[in-house]
Amino acid sequence: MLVIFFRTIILYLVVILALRLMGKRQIGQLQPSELVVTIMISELVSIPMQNIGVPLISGLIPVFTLLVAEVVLSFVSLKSRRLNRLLSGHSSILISNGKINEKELAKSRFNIEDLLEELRINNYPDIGDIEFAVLETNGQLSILPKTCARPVTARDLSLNLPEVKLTHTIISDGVVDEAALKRANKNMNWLTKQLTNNRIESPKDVFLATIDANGSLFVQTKEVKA
Amino acid sequence: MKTFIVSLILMAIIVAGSICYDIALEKMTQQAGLYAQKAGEALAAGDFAQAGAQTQEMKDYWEKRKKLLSLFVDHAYLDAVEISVEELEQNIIYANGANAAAACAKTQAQIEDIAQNERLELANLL
Repeated sequence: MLVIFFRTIILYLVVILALRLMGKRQIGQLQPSELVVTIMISELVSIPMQNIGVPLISGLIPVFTLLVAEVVLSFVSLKSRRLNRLLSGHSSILISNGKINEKELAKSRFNIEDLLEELRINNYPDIGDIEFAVLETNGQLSILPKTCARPVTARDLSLNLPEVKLTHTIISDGVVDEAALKRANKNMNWLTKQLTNNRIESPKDVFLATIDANGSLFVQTKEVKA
Repeated sequence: MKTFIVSLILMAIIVAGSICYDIALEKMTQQAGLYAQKAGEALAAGDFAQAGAQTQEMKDYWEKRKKLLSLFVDHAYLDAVEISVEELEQNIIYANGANAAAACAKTQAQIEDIAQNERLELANLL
């Protein structure tokens, strides 16, 4: 039993490493080749995980081979538009200038119910509000509403609002992120002073502390356990 | 770019490692198979002492390499060879010629089959 336990741990770490090396896209929106690799990896590792008669390496070699193939193909498809199209396909415009493109709909094997469902999921219950709808290569539908259905923006109202800036998380669960503190142009002395002003003895007592672009500090202390 | 280079290096390691492993496996199984073949020849000549000595050498040779092989080869194959060698040994001890010859041929075939399964051949690929 211990053998299975340790084999599982090893394979788990290898799969995590493989997915990390494949990049962030692998975890979020999958392209067809990435989906294939992910499914294959999960299947491949389950065999040596359960059967201790199968050498671990016979599970690891295919995983690393798939990882290498995926990274190399991604790199080459970055350089070659043709290969990229071959691997990922191309996006389909399902609604163009407010009109449903039946040919593209059929080509994408998307029926009208699927389209209406996707629009509803994206908070557009009325198809009359849509100017363009594009089915992306990862299967997601991008929607561009008609101008009359578009939410009002600050630009429409000619408002001159300050640019949005990043808020830095400087303490998370009692741990100070010194790099974030530095990015916010602050130091430990400043932080200690701010915590003292908030009657907090140590950063360890802080659950979350953030600092916005204006230098305003948000602090939430940890709940006291009964 | 860094990941791409690391991937290429990893690919080179996998390919080179696989080639080295295939060559080593081929040599190991050839040597063990040779012992089995010699034991078979001795059995055919009715020389049980010589057959026993060859079987013992094969057993020692296999035992030494078993740990390494178990990292790469399905354990079922290794266990099957081990059982066949034991069978061969017992048949030689009891001077059971026909059964010993059969066990010897089986052992040789099982040993050679391990390398055969790893050979880069169309039959294995398909």
